[in-house]
Amino acid sequence: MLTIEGLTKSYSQNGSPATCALGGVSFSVPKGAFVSLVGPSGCGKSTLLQCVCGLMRPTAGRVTLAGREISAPPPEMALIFQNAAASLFPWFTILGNIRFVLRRAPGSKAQKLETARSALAAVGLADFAEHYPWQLSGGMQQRAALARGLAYGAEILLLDEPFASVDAQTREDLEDLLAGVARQQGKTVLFVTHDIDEAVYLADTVVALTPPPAKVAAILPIDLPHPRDQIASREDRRFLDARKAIHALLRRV
Amino acid sequence: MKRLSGLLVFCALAAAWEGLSRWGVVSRLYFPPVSTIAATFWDLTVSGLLPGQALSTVSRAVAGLLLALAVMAPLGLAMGVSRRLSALLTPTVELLRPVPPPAIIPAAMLLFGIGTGMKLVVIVFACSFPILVGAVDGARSIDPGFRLTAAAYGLSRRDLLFGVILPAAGPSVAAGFRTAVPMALIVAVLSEMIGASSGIGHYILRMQRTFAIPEMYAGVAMLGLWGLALNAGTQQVLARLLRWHAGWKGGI
Repeated sequence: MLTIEGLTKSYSQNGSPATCALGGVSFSVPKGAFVSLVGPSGCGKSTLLQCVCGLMRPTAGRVTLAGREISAPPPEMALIFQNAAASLFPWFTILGNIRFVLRRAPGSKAQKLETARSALAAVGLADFAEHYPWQLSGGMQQRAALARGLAYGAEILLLDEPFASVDAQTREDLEDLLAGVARQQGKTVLFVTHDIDEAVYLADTVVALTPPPAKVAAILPIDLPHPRDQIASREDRRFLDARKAIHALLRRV
Repeated sequence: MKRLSGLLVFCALAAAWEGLSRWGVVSRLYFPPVSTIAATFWDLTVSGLLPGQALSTVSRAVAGLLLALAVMAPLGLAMGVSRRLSALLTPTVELLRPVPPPAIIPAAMLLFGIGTGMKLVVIVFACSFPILVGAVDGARSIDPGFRLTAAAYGLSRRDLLFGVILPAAGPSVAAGFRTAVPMALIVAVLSEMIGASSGIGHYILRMQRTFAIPEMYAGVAMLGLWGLALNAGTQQVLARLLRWHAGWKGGI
């Protein structure tokens, strides 16, 4: 169980009054759950994610994983960034990128290579191991970033608007890929997006945030059967209801 | 085809020189025909005199370059990463950098005599700044996304240094090194002209003073060829090391 309690983050820029990005956010992510975090753009979602994985220190509040407070990036969490091109190291091949983040992991070289290869296979990039990131399309780069997160062996995947910069068709493919892999490998997922449809389509629970200083506006369980289907699920009454509820919520606040 | 026409222009210029010299339009003493220079060049090359002189010059230039790289690249990366170190050293660097390297030759002679040590000091001085500046810029301009990624995946400082900062700064260090290559050669030759008993710079000047003009030009030609080879060699090695960068920048 990942618990976020009263998370507050304000920035002060030399002298000017502090701007408050997060105004006391609390929710929890049960083990194995897929939680979407949705909110208007600029509401501090990325800040929240960076506080959750210990890259940033919150002004107040705390994040605990199984009761232990997070203060530095723990091996149980893998962060997947919005911009894969600025996160995959261009001087390493795709395989090299994965092996690089596994340097501190336990296990022999051969084991790590095996882990890396199976992660690539899971995202359908087995044949692209020796390619450089810049040789791949945007969607494939995002797959590679996902493979790196999977190979890292973290039980929790944190994704920061990972599909924001790919075309619609690719995006649907990536959504289904992520949902499938996460379920299959029993990963806990905290998925940040500004796209309400995407949030509902993927999640077991949607956490909606208010504009800054962000607070939790609502926590909605999504009662849709798995595996989801791009056409059937999106036409389902329950999908439409959830979508409408979140829209209304975000418009009101 | 383009290459060929460029070569033709060179040949035409050489032929013009040859003609002007043979017909006495220009002084035959100061501008001996190209064919005479070529013959001298050939004789001196076969006898091993010119290559030997050039080798001592070029090896000093290369040694100075590598020494400057070994010291200044790590120092520059450290300055690029550490604000404190940068604040400490930047004023000194900025004050020394505009000094034209030949200006320190007399001082270096005073301190180190006219041996190899003096020349190395001057060459290292000349090559240091482009490499240092390249390294500082390279380390400073690393995309924050790369650092954040390294931090998110719990990589050690050592991994950050060798796996992220060094490769990311590589192209910038390489650009500085490329600038330093011709400077090394220039300063090596110059230091030999001012204080030396060997090397191709010394040879060229000695030939001029003894009116062995074809020999003088042959020395210049030999230096030109070495310069060409040195640049091409550097280009080859760097292109190999930074293949990812060419692809990355060309690929997006």
